[in-house]
Amino acid sequence: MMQWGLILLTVCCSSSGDILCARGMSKGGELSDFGPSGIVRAIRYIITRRLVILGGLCYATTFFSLLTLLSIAPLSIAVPATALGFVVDTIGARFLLRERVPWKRWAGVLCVTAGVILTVKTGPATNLPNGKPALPASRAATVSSVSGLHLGHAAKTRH
Amino acid sequence: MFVCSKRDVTIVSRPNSRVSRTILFISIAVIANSFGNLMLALGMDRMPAFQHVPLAHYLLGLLTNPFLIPGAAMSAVYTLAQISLFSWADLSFVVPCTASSYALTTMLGEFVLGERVQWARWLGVLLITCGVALVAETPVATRPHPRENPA
Repeated sequence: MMQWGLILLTVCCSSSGDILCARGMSKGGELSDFGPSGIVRAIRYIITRRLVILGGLCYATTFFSLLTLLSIAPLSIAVPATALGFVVDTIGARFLLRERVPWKRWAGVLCVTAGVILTVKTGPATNLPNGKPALPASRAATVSSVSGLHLGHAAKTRH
Repeated sequence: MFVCSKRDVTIVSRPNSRVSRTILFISIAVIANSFGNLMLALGMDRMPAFQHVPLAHYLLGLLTNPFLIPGAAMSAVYTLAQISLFSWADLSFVVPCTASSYALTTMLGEFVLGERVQWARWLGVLLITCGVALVAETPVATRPHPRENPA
């Protein structure tokens, strides 16, 4: 039960972070100057947007929530479940951000979600050429790309 | 910027500059995310297990690890690139497109680290690629975004 609660929390916080950041950035102007001084101005602009800061807090909650989730659930359940965030993001974009989502984009999002689930869920840990057992970096990195953290050691103990 | 109707979908036009900027920033985000994660994976592989060493030694190990600082810097580049994209592109366009990093990371695992990647994972990569191709066929932005530069 707690596992599913944490999955729900992770997905909700991750998607809320995306939606808040998108909302915060789209309310201001379009960033277009990326010269040396433009990059500094763009970074200052990004870190002073209230909604973006709130989104960052949501990302931080996602980080710790996924960390806790991985301490009680197998990697092969935790990460594919959080891939549902792609679908939640798209639903949020449609109904909260009022984006028009053509059918091709829905189909694409579903393909991406299925693909992410397959890339994470399939295959046990492999051995490196030197014979050292290791969590494949492709899987560890997939975890970290979802959460923003590396969980190599935590995951190694499970595989 | 002008708006035109296509069936029931109102589509904001895609000036060439915006499309090319979107391609550039998605490429930066995907490459920075994949290589950043690869460096973090390599760096953490060289770290001792957290519970076996004192905290100060562990933190020193993190700071002196040759892969972790560049890996973290690349992750920061990824985050900034993605947030910048939100200022002109749809969330529902950006998020699936930047998921290409999953496919690139799997390829890095196979070709750089020499991992054996199973066929089912290649099928996943193929699905992600098809999904991104489908999303890329749609307009970058479907609602008006302010054009002026805020900076």
